[in-house]
Amino acid sequence: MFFIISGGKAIRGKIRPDKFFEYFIFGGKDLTKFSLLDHESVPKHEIMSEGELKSVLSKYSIEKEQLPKIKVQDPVSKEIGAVVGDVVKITRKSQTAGEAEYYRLVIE
Amino acid sequence: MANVPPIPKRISSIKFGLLSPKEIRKMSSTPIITADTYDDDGFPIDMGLMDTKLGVIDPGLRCKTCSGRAGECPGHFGHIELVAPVVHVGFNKVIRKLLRATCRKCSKILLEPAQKQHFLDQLIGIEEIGHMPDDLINEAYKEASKVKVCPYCNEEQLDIKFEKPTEYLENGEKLTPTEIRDRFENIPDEDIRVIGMDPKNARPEWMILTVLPVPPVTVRPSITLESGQRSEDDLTHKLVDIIRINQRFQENREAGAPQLIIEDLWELLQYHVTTFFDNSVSGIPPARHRSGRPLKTLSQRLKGKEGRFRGSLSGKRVNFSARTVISPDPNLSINEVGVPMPIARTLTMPAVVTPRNIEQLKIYVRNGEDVHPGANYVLRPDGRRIKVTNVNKDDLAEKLEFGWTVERQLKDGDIVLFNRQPSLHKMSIMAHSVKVLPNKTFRLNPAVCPPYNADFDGDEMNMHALQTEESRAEAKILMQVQENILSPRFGGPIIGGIHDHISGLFLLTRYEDHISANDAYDMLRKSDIRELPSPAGYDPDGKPYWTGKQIFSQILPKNLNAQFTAQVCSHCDTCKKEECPNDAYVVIRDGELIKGTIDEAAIGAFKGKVQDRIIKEIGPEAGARFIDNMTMLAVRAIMRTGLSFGIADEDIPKEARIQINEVLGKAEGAVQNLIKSYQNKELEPLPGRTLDETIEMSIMQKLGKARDETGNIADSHMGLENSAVIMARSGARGSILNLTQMAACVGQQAVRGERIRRGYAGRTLPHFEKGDLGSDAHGFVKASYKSGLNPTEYFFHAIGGREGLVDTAVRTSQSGYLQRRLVNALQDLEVQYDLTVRDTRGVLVQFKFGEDGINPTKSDFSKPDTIHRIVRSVVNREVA
Ligand SMILES: [Mg+2]
Ligand SMILES: [Zn+2]
Ligand SMILES: [Zn+2]
Ligand SMILES: [Zn+2]
Repeated sequence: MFFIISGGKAIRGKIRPDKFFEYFIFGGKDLTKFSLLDHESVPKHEIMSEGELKSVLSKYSIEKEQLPKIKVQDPVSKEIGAVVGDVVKITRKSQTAGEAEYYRLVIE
Repeated sequence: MANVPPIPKRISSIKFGLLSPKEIRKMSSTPIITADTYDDDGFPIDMGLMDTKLGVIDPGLRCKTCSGRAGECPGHFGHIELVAPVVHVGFNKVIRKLLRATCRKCSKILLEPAQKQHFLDQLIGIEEIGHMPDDLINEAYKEASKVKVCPYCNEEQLDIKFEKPTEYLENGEKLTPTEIRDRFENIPDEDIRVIGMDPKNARPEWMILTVLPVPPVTVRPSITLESGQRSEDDLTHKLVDIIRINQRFQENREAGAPQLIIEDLWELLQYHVTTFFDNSVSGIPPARHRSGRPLKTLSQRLKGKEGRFRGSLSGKRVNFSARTVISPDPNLSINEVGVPMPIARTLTMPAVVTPRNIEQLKIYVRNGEDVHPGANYVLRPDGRRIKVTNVNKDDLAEKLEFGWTVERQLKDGDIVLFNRQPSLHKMSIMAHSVKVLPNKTFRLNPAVCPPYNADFDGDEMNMHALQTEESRAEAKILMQVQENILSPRFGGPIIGGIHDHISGLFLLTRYEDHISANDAYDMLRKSDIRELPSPAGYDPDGKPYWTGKQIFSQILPKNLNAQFTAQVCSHCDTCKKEECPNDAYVVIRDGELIKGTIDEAAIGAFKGKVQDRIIKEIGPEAGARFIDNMTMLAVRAIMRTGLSFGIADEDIPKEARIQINEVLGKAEGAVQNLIKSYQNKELEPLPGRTLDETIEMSIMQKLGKARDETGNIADSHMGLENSAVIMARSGARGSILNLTQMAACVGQQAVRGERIRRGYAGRTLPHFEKGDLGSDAHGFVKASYKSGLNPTEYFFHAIGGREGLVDTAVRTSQSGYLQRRLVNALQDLEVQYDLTVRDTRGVLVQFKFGEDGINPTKSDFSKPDTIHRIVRSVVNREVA
């Protein structure tokens, strides 16, 4: 079971029903307005600029279509307002590399 | 998509359908009316089963349909007009469903018009999104077969009983294929769609055969025996039967034979057509040869392991390969494989004759096929292949010229591939160099068992002789065993000492401190070490002696440095490192073992730090040499002291036994108290648990703790003088748990992690009262393996043991299928030179291999230790 408590961090474990209310009511954050990017396990997603995209494509000497894909209906695409044809840059935390960048072309 | 190459040819769809009688006649080149095959002169009879219109197989004849010769003509279908329709066995289940779902009078599907429309609409929807309509169709079938009165003609529907394989009874009366066919003919096209068939490609009445296609002769070639007699294919035999019965049926019907005889013949015709398609259907005896062998008919050709799909299409067979049982040979290098002489004399390697090798090759040819190393074939530049025989071998040797190729027999040093199934990782196929040996098994160094997952209880392995220079070079550079010691799975060695290697070096480096020069040389005899270091000391009589650590140090590379905790480390709260009282901290300085005991953590497969360091710092060649020397030294070291295990090693002193019984008695008491408080409703449930769960968990916990305690008692009475303890502590084989189960207490037997509850109503066995919650009533085994289990304990133990067996059986099949799916999905991905991972179309999958571009094989057990070590070696001290 996952519970959201203040600070947007997820904690895992069994929580007694009586404690549950405490977290829900005094959690400090309005759960109805929470952004999915706030979740610890969701990496940073951002729409790339034209220039940025061009340099990435030339770095790997590829066309846009050779990038991995993400659907517009994907919750993250919706969250950041991406449209078909955009390229999303994903910055992930990596145990060995510190940070790793990944790019996805938004498709239907 | 400029850079993404289009897929050359794409199959957009495949359509399956039924052949209509019209189509069968149209594709037929001739009707077949006679059961005879050849005339007296041996020529095929017209309109017989071997009619040349069906294609030709004898050289010299020409096909009457396409005028092609044997080999050019693909063969052509013929047909047999059946006197009466018969059921096609392959569709017997569909026919049953259709009979139940349609009206016996008006043949309409037994659904209200609205319901029918509903299913049709849903079908179209499912088709649009490209899903499988199976579930919906089954639902429609189910709905229709429930209806008892036709909504269109009010006819009452009778019960349809199906008797395998091809009989249908309506209220106990047999439906003839003709009747079934009549019903199906009247089903409207629209209704057919509802039950998932496409009326254009598959009308249901086509499942009742009126015309039988006769496969071309190329599908059922006859073979000529040495005696000149022809032997026909099983399919031809079956077709002969069909034609004979067909003829008899017709004659009898025309003669107006009684109904009984007609029915019998009809049934017989049905039997032959059924077995023509499938000779293994249940419900009827399989058709047999005169010899009693069942015929191999159409579906037998396709089905199963040796069938067309698994055996011919997916199954690949290769030449230049050998398979036999494996057995160990510790005196071989890990890079070698012992090849039995008969295999070495059969497998060959091609050698092109050049000025440099002509003399040697002449010797091989002169040796012929019987004297090893000889030659089996000689290839001339014009492509002629000449077998080397005892008659022509001298002649051929003389004729040998530059540019010819000699297929010489396998000899020592040849590179071959060695493989053990299931080939789950790249180390399942490695390159070895040949060592030709007597006897009939492949021999390998036991240290290479882990990557192949091999043992010697009858395992067989395959060997492939490489046929080109390129393949041999590639195999040697990439696939040789020494190049695969480090596993890409975890960045450590998967080849290393096993079992006695570990025990041997443990004994040598821990206890041996008085080794004479003679013994020292003897232990190192198989290695290339011929000199000993300065002795550790001198006996009173002036004779020098050495320590086991010194002997082991001789096989270490001179510049090796390493420090790590050994397997025997008891994980003290603060490790005293070099000062470890247990000699469990290994220090190797400049190729000398200063401190510590060599055990699994040092030289074991999967764990060995020493191989790991040698390969990463010096190279694979040094690594292979170390493993060779290490295994040979270990074998001689263990023979010096000897290591055996007997039932007496499980003995524990009387006081220990008393202590153990006390612990078990107390635990029993505690369990009884728990049960009492549970029965008195005094037990507090654990958070989130029911009372029943709570009592079970508490009992399990109490008994588990008691078992551990008994183990500790037994353990404390068995020191490192016990060979089982040596093996367990050094990591050679077995565990302390195994030992304490033998000596002290076996413990709780469990099914799915719970105490055993199954059996009789309210109890596990009749030996106990109903509702008994006690430890012995639910599978707690107080006895040790040595003391012996009582009958109820023994039974519970068998229950627990069975679960283990079932688990492994299930897991292997599941993980095998998972592996297959993963491999299929990932096999075409490739790491490019820019470290990106791309598929065959050039679409990126990863922008940097593994996000960090690190080759796991070269990492240190997948931990970022390399940097620390470099810093350490530069500043010459420990850094955080
Ligand atoms: Mg085996
Ligand atoms: Zn032909
Ligand atoms: Zn009807
Ligand atoms: Zn220690």
